[in-house]
Amino acid sequence: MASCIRLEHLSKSFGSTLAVNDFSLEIEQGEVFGLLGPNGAGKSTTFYMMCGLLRPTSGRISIFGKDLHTNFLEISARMGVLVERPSFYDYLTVAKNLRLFAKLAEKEVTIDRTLDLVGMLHVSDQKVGTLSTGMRQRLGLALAFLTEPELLILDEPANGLDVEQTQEVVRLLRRLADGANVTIVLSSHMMEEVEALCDRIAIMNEGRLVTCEETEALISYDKTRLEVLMDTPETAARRLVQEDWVQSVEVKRGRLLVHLHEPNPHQLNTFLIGAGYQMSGIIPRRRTLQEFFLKALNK
Amino acid sequence: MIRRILNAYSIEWTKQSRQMFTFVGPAFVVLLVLLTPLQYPLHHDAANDYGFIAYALPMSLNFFGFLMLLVYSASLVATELSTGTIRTLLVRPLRRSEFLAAKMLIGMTYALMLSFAASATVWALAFFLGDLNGIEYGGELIYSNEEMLQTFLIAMLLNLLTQFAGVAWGLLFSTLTRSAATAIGLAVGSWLLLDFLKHPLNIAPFLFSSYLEQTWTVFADRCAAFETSFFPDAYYGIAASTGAAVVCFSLALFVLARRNLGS
Amino acid sequence: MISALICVVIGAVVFVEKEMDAIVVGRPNPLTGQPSLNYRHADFDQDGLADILLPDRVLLQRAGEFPAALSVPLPLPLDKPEYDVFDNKLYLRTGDRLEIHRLNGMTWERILGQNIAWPDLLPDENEPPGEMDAEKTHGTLGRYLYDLSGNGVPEIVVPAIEGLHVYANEGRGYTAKHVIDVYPSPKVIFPERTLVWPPEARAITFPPTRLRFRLFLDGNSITVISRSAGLGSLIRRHTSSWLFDVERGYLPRDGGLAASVTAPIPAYLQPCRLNADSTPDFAGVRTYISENSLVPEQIQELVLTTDGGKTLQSFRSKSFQTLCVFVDFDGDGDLDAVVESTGLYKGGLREFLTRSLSERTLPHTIAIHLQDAQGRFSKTPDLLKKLSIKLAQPPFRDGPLFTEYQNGGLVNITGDLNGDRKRDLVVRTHPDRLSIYLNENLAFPKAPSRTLDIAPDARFGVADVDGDALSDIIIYREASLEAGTSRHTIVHFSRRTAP
Repeated sequence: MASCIRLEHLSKSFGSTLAVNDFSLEIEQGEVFGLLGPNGAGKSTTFYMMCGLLRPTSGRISIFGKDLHTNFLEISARMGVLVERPSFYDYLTVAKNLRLFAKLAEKEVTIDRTLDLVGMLHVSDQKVGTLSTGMRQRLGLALAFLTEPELLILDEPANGLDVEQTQEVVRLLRRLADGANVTIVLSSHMMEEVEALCDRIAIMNEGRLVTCEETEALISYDKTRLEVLMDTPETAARRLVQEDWVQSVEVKRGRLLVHLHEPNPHQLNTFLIGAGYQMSGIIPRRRTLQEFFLKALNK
Repeated sequence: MIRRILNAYSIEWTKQSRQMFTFVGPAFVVLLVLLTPLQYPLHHDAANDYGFIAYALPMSLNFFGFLMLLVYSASLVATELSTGTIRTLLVRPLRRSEFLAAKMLIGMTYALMLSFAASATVWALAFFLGDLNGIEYGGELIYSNEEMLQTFLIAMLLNLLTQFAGVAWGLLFSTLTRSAATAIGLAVGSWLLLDFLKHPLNIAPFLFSSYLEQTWTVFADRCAAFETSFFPDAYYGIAASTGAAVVCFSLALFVLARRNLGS
Repeated sequence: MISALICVVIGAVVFVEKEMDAIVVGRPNPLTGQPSLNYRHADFDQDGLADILLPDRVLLQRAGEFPAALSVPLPLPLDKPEYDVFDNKLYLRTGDRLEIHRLNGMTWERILGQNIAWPDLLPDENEPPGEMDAEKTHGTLGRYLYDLSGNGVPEIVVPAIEGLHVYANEGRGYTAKHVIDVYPSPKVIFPERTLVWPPEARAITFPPTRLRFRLFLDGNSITVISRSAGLGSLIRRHTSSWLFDVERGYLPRDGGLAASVTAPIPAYLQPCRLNADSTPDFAGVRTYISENSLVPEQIQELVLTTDGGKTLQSFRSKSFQTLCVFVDFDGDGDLDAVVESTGLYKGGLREFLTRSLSERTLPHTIAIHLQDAQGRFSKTPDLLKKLSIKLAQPPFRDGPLFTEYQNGGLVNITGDLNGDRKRDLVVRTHPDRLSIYLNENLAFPKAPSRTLDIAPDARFGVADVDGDALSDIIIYREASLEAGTSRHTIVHFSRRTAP
């Protein structure tokens, strides 16, 4: 796949504070990429640099194979951006706001279709100043989608959205990525949303890239922690606790939770069958993104 | 580039035309002109009333209107910075220089609006309530109506140039701070201070606002049948105003280009 | 009192500085450029150098100096006399007596003394007798000697109510000769409205009459200029001139009467002599506040006519009072117009306010319009001199220097400092500096030809003090004391060469 975004040794300092420190990353075309990190990690600074609002102190940003700063107009025309807490002209209507910003892109746009996409068609004639925070966020998304960009840079897209709206946005973005081959770069505090959406995730801390992994690789199964579905978990637990290959055993809400020293579910299965227990299944526990995130940050 | 500037200007115009604040200035200068007959009565008495134009315009347009112009132009970028809309704008295909140029054009449009509002009102009053005959002195026609109109237009054009320098001045302060109120305070305050200290500092010939009412004094002099000329003073005015506009706009561009718009 | 101190060379002019507290130079007549002086020149000691006649003494000149030892008090009879001088002889006229003295060495020698009953003097509206006159311990300088007969022996002319009384000296002292009736008819002044009620307030008021005219004596010619109502604010000036025949007892010569009347002219135009032709000239300055400007600009309008009111020429400028509006700038004998403009109003109301509040330097322009042989003044200036005048305080502080500027006292173009018959410019460009610009081929140099120091509280005037036909610069300081006014004067004498 072709590279869509390439960040090379990107650094940004504000006075003596180094917000982004030698950050390098490559995002491929059509990829949905999540950038995670705690507050102050440098995510937003990186995002602002990617959309041209901030100029890096050092390093280079290439988008669509071209240098961002020398080709800003061309690149920004192919890019949709949602900045954190997007601002609009409150005294203009929703549709008028979109129409104004669309004018700069010099592209034919269908305001109603875009508003329909984010579920805002019914408020198109309403002044932006009267909208709720969630609605403004959706308007921000609409603005990012408006010119049907090839690249979407979304900073906290689910800010202010309720669960249902977040799910809608996730589905929409996924559809865009899958259907229109749009590259999406997003940051979010909502791990589930990122996990559900992103192909690849990078974690930043203190301005540096901590790790960058395929989501599938991160979201693996822990074969040392097994949940056994059976009728008599208490008796099995008493037997298992005596085994030296078992680290700990616990019964919770009728389920047997076994923590092995080694990731060997087959050994447990053989043991329980050999002991004459009836089981309906052994399920390895799934690792969450949050765990990965905390682990990556050594917390 | 020109197309993008015009696009941005058109957006700016759409925005500004929907704000009440935009029309406060022109309404204010019109009101001032309308009140001027209380001070300078107009009558159909065959006495020439060009003097009314020379009296009312500098007062409304350059004494009070210029302050409105500074307030307006100082708020142009600062408002976008304080609300954050500048970020929404500048992630679009628009350079900061183009954005600033559009703002400058809007400020110039505002200056034109002020000038047009004041001029139209003052001419209408003089025409309907007074008498506009050629300027005579000692029984001799010194300036015909056509010449007076021509003088007025030249005065207005030269005056606009100085007003444009004022727009650039306001714009510079508008880029310096995120607060519109602070920008207005800085633009107006620093100008008043500089204008007051220009003589002791020996910088009066180089300050654009020294020439703000200069052109109207020529018009006023001609109203009084003085045979005066715009030049050479106008040359200094043109140079000082153009210089100030270029310097202030360049500085504003420098500041905005280096401005952190990320937070 | 008199001390030769410093010599300063400027071009061909040298300034010699001397203290002469007795010299008083007042404002010049704006229409002639002649300063009002408290002295006259006459060569009393017959040494070829002009001596100075003051109201109380004569200062004799020796080699360009006026040594204190050569100060001769004037003869002072009991009555305070009016002095006049003719042919280096001093004439004293008191209430009933006339004396003529000649200086002999350091004393006055009376060569004539006679009693004469002078007529009652015609009151002069322009010069009301001051209260201070009564306290003076000395006489006054007057002008009553005119050589009407042209025989070198002056006649005494006294304006009285009946006419001009002429006294002639035919060898045995002065005797009354004739009363020349050249006055115009008195005009009736309509009385104020009289009351008819209440009865005790009723009165019959007899309308008084008034006589207003100007009288000029020149040789055996007498010119009387009076006025009559014209149109609206305009008036007509009537001019009558007589040539007198001494042989016929000072009666008008046959055919010697010339009379003319002007077209209606503004009332503020005064008779004056702008050129040598026989047509009377009239000129005047009017000041008014501009109605077309936010700034209360003072406009000065100089209007003149050299053809008896047929055509009026005018020059207007934004200016405070101009010290003198006519001088013979180019030395051709005809007066040229001086039009000054202040830069205080330049730039509109805000500029006026900031300049008045914070600026000490005022732009000032002098324009000279030369008069041609036909008596016409050039429409565009023949010379334009731009000056910067630095005040001690900004105008709104209203310091004494700004007041002086408003009175036209900082710019003086009346003097000829180097004797080339062309007027030179003396300007107080700084509170403590006088800048002198010598007229070089009808142009002033960009930089001053020379500067002189002046005390911040002093003022200056230009006049020929030593009678050498070169104007001198008089710098004086006045201090108000309980006993009156003390005056300290330094005269910078112009000299053609260094002493």
